[in-house]
Amino acid sequence: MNGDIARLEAGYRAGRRTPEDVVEEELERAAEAQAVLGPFRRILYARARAEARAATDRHRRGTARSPLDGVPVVVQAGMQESERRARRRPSGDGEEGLLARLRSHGAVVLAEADTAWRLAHRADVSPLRNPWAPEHAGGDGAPASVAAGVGAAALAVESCGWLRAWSARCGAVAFRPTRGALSCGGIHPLAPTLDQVAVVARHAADARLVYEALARARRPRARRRGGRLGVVPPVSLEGEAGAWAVRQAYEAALALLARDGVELVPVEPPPLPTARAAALTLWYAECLEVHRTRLAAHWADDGPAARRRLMAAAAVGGADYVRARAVRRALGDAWGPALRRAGVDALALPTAPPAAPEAAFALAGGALADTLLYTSFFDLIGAPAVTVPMGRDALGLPAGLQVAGAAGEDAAVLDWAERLEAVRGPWPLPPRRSASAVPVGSSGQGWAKVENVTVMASSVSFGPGGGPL
Amino acid sequence: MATAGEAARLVDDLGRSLGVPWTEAERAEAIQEAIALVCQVELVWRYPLPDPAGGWRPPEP
Repeated sequence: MNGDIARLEAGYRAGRRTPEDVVEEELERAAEAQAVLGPFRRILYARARAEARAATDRHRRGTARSPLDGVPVVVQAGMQESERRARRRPSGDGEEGLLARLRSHGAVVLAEADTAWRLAHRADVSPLRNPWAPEHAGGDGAPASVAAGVGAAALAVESCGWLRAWSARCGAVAFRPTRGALSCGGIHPLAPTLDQVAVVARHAADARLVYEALARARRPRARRRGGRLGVVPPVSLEGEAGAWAVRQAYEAALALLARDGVELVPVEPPPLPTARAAALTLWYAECLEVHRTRLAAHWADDGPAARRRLMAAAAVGGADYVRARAVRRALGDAWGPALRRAGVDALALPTAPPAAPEAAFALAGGALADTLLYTSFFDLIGAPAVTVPMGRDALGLPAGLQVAGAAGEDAAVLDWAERLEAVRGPWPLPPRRSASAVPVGSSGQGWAKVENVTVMASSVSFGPGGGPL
Repeated sequence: MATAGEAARLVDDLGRSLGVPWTEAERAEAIQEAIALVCQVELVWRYPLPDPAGGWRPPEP
């Protein structure tokens, strides 16, 4: 399935559209999304228009720099700063900042998306809303923006699986490559041994294009159409609060793959709660180390949840940190062989246990550990993983399916993501909403109660109480 | 690994050493979160690491 970037490039090449036209439409859509959902720290009107003009000239002269030339994108706030810092003080290996590299391909940066840290934690920031159900949380600016149709792709930092979880909840694709495959040089760290730049998009093909343009080393496309995919037995997913609808979407997605001829191979899941515990142990300790020197002086700048988390990190001792690293090494060493023993190159599992909570709950800090259950293992060990939207629950909230492979198997993981999209069918954009249609404030707290799930393929749907296919 | 009681003391110690201007309610919430974090740390220690049969191995960089 082709993505938006290939369609844009074909349109530019044929002279049907220009980057200036496209960027003007996207800026209008960004302003609309900002009024309703609030995903941006700022929209870069003047610079985006100037970049679009330059890209239009290049396309007219036939000197487009790459498939990304004139493609509208969003970047996480802080990468702008990192580009400036990278220019002043290049990272040790002499690489330019990732944002500079993105612009060198001709991509047009529309806006800076707000980060999860600021949105979830700052007291003075309104809750970011979900593009599919604005009374529910959007979690992170990059996925909320792309899922709402602003930018063909976005770059954002993934530390503990938060970005993929919220991409699933917003209905976006998010690909976290093998640790180190994309440079983090110059980007302000949050948890330095966990941080990795990830690509958010609406289509796996777009995530692949952006990743391949920016990757440190060119990896050959796998294009393996292996017919075996590791799956987690549904019984292993029992007992997670609010996970019923997500499990239903998972089982329905696997049924679609089986119908397409994929052999589903049960694989014992990795110890997800242990991995999450190790990831959180490292994350808290490293966040405190990064913020320690500014914590007292900037106490009022951070919201209550940020302050609470940074102070709580005092409970992690040096021995705990070393133990968590040892657990990380042991789990990482076992992951690749476990896949090989099962004869598969990837494992499919849900992305986030519950769907998006109500906005007020997320603003208060939300349930961090619940959000990260299925994703943090792969961030902990630095393995590639991608989430693809697969269905929506009765409230219209998206659920995603995650595919993860062994370190270095980025191409295989992306292949599976494209195959998942092919069996799922087209994923629509959420309806455009005006700011006046968004409810002011949210009443109750806690996870959404869901009654049924509908997978996007028209032939597969569940009624209330419907069993697995 | 800290106990719940030790976690509260560690949070207080950090607050004092950094001189953070927190309220009593903020301090109580931080302690509550630290106790929840201790439960996660406990899981890390419960995980049976493989016996290093090969003897000493160099630490990861």
